[in-house]
Amino acid sequence: MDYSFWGTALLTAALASAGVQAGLGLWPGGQERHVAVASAAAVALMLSLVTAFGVLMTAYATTDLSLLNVFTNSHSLKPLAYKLSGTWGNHEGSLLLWLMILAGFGAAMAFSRRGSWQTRRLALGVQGLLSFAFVAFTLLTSSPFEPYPANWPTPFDGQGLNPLLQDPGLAIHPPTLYVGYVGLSAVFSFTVAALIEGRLDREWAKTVRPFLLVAWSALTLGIGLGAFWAYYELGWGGFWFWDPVENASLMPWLAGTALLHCVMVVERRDALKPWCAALAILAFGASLLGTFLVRSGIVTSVHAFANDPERGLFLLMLTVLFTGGGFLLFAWRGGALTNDQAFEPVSREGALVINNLLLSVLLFTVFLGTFWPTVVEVSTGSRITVGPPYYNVMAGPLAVLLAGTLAFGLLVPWRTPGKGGWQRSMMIIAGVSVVATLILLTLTGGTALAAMGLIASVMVVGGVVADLARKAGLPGASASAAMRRLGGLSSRQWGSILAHGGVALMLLGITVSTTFQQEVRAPLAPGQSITLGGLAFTYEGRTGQAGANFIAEVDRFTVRKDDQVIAQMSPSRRYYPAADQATTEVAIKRLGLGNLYLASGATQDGGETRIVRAYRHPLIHLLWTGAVLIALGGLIAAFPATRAARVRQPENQTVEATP
Amino acid sequence: MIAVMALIVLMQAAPVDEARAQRLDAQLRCVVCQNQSIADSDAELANVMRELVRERMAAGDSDDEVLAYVTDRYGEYVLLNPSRSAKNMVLWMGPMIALVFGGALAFSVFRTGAKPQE
Repeated sequence: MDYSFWGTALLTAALASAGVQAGLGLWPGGQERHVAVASAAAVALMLSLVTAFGVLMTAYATTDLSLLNVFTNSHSLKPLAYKLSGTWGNHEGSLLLWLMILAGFGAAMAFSRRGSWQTRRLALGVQGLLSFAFVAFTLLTSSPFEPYPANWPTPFDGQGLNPLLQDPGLAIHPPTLYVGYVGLSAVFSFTVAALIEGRLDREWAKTVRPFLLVAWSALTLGIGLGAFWAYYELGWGGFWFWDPVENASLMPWLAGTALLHCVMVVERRDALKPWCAALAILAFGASLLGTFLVRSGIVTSVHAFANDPERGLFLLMLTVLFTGGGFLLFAWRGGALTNDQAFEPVSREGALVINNLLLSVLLFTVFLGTFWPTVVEVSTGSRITVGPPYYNVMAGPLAVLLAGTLAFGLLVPWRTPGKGGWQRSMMIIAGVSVVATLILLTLTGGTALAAMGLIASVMVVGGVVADLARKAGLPGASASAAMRRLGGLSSRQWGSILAHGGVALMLLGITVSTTFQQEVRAPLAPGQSITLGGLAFTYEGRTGQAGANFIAEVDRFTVRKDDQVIAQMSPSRRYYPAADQATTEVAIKRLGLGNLYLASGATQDGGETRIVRAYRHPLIHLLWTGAVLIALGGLIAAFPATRAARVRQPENQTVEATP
Repeated sequence: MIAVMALIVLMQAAPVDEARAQRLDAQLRCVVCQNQSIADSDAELANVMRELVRERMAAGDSDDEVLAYVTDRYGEYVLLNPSRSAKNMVLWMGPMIALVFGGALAFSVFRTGAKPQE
């Protein structure tokens, strides 16, 4: 099969479909029957991109070197799974995956039945325009279907994939993350349509909600997977390095988190509409910025693709065009969106306003930290670094405020301060969190950062527990009545409980695993031991091993506690000849909710002595569990069960725990 | 008795020093690595920089003096905690200003939204 020809033909067909979708969707004289045609174009666009992706994947599976992209990024000796995942392990292939997901959301929008046909037509048009621009970008600058140049020497084999990317975590991390990034495009398109129409209302909120929650859950999971990959594959002993590309994924997540709370206010109370529209544009703008950042070469990062300034400029233009265009439209039409429902400051709306404010400030902080080094370098020529100490100082206090707002927001009723039953719960939560933190820190010793993290975690736990208790009618109700009341909660309420519970676990996991981390580094000859937190690690020696496409040195360690062997651990170092690159494969042993983490460094003294880094990360599994719970909560809330939808929930639940 | 107490004090002092050294390591970027502190890096240069930190500590430098010494040799790029200098004003003050400005905005939302219904 001529992969280059068919791939390019399919991309051209996709461009044409996107053109039809955009034209019919945005043409001023459009009529209702055009919606069906634009929808059909959206589906055609999706199908042609899925097929194009399939073509590329087949070329990777068979290591067909007639494609330049396969030659540059694959190798016939790789395991099949990594040949397939290698399809999106490079700039061009991952861009095609990005496009495919964009078109997938476009097709899903075509099946959305909410709102007027005018709004749906406009939204499809905007999504079509996005698709058109990015398919054109791919065809013009980054086609994965570029043939292997005829005048180059006949290749023997491909150049191989970066060994760091040959990993299950990295195989699923980008697709998940992209569903998150690109899913926000649907929210953007519906918002731009609403702005053009001058009507952003409850119907808009109901329309964007499932798209937003699916995207946000995927983004949560994608960021979590990225952190997990960094933790066990990089071997640096941490999971988050405030790396520019990590920040690039965090920014849309922060905007998305603020937005989904704001959308809730629009849906329930028909308020905060202009702010919501601005956030929707910002969230997708941040996604585009992330896409641009990874591929532009403007920042260095472990996650960045091979960089090319020319592509970067093109992507920057698209980012500015769509984000700037969105904000211009907002400036022009945003005034038409009126806040027509009043609320008092001490109310759930008030809490959500504060939540949005704090998340936005955090977003701005991450933005400053990411781009300030570039600003300084361009303006003064000197290079600076913005690293973890900066973000910790800035994010710590914000996390405490956010956690307090979260607990308050869960307990206070909509619209008014109510009868104030929440005040007692809040006092208890604040008191318990401070006292618990003080006790823990006096017992174990710890930094201000640990204190802030612990206070924040306990406050969120308190908020979630108090919310559950109130929903169950406790204290007061009998056990069976409480269970019955909890069983009657809607899937949206369970989604909220799960997600906020996940936030509590995640905060606790992050705080404890980083601030109470123990680490030791030492050169060890075979037979020697190091101790860390009451555990003795003995270096037994090493053996050689050959893998499918690498050779490895495997070290053996025995871990003892009070002279009892509790674990055998085998960290290793791999060498991949195809890429001429070495990787560290850490050994991780779970102990309770924490981990022992062992990484082999370089050898010294003629190769016998090994430099070893050993860590204990207490409670780190709470972090992974928390991330999964947050994503799960979002997904559960995205698709309310039909039964729960039919059993009408009271619109404004202002039930209070009156003691 | 005194010797035993001195020994206990010494034994306690040694790990405390290493903890201080690790705290300093975590604030210094390994120049040849990608966004990694010298505390986490296995690179040769990170070893050299860690040695330097311990040398300066042994010479009696305070934390700030150690950081200043390393910065003099490797440039401001190594500081993971950016300096609070004039050129980084925006970086350090920006979030605070945003919070105050945003707070004022939120307050105005409350003012207009504060007309209770009924």
